[in-house]
Amino acid sequence: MNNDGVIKSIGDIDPEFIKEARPDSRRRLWARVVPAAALALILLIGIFTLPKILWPREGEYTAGLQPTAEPVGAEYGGQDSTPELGSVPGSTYGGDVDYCLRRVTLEEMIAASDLVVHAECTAVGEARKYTFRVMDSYPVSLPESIVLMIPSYHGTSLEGLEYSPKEGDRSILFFVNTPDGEGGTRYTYNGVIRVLDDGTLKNDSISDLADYTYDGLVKALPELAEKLIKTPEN
Amino acid sequence: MNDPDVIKLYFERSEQAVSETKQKYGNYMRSIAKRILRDERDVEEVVSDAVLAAWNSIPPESPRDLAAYLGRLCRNAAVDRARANSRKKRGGGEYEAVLDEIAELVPSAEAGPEEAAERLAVTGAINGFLASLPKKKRTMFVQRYWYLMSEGEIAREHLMTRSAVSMQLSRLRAALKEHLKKEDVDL
Repeated sequence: MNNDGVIKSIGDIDPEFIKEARPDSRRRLWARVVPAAALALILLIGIFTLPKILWPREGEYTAGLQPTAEPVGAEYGGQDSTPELGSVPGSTYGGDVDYCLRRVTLEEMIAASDLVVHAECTAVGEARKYTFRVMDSYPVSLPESIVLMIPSYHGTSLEGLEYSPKEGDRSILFFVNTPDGEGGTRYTYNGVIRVLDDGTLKNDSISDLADYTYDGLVKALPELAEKLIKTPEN
Repeated sequence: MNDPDVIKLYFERSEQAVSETKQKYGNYMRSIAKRILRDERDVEEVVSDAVLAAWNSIPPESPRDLAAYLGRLCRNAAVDRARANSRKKRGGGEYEAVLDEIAELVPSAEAGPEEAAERLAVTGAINGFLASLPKKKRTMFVQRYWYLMSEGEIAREHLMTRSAVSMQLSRLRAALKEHLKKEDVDL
């Protein structure tokens, strides 16, 4: 048999094999289109996102930080107990939707809280569930939120946070410090846990605090808290 | 119109069978012939020859897969045409490349009177070989040596590099050669 004969023998193979191998132009099209579309999408995301990350403008939240669905603290601006908060220049607590779109100062954060809690991580369980121990607490101004300072590690999950919201609690501000690689710690993530109507907790990051180390924050806290505490006498 | 209805038209000797076949499978058969032949006129003639062959063979044949049946008729007609062209002037399309690859399998020899019987034996052995392969390898083999797709086309379809396809096909040819030896197929 010559080569043509073999070619013809192959031509007579089982029709099932022929059907199975039938060229699929759509499959070839997808093979071309999908990588090209993925590349285009990555480029588009890069073009629109990178400038915002590299050169964030005033009023824009920075990379990795999400705006809260509902500006936390918005309700404080109209309350009689702290009417001045809404009028502080640059304040984030005046009910302005800008709240979650700019950096806030520690004072601003504390001023919007009724309790500052300094807690430490005492155990790490499965699935990154952390247990916290309250070290100190400082009552501050408003009756509807709590500040937690949580010395822990980057990536801390708050799922294990043992907190039972009391009636009237609306939000918890928290700080998570991380090792800075040089033996110290720094805050890289601060957020708000919102107490939802059904009593569950929702974690929204809000901003990053500028230039506070963990130690610095702990030292500054009592003074700041004292300054901001509003007692009935005040 | 679905395939059983088209086949029924052939059995009724209705000429509508020819027009339905060309309408439904014309492009498919053309794509097969184009891989083997370069000349557009040859392609059209081969498609017509294949439809005529279907008209002459159904009945008594009653193909269980009309597409594969027509594809085979078209392919064989195209191979005949390419061989005739090749005798006049070497230089067919993908057919020539495939012929070179097949030359690894069999020593060149003139066609003899027993060729039909030999072909049947070879086809049976090849079917056994293909059945033993994983689906992807089988598909690649059939796409190359039945559909005569280029290595580049196969590479795109399987998201592989052309050189990987080439390597795979080379291994498959070697494996087929071994298989044919084991089956005592007289080539």
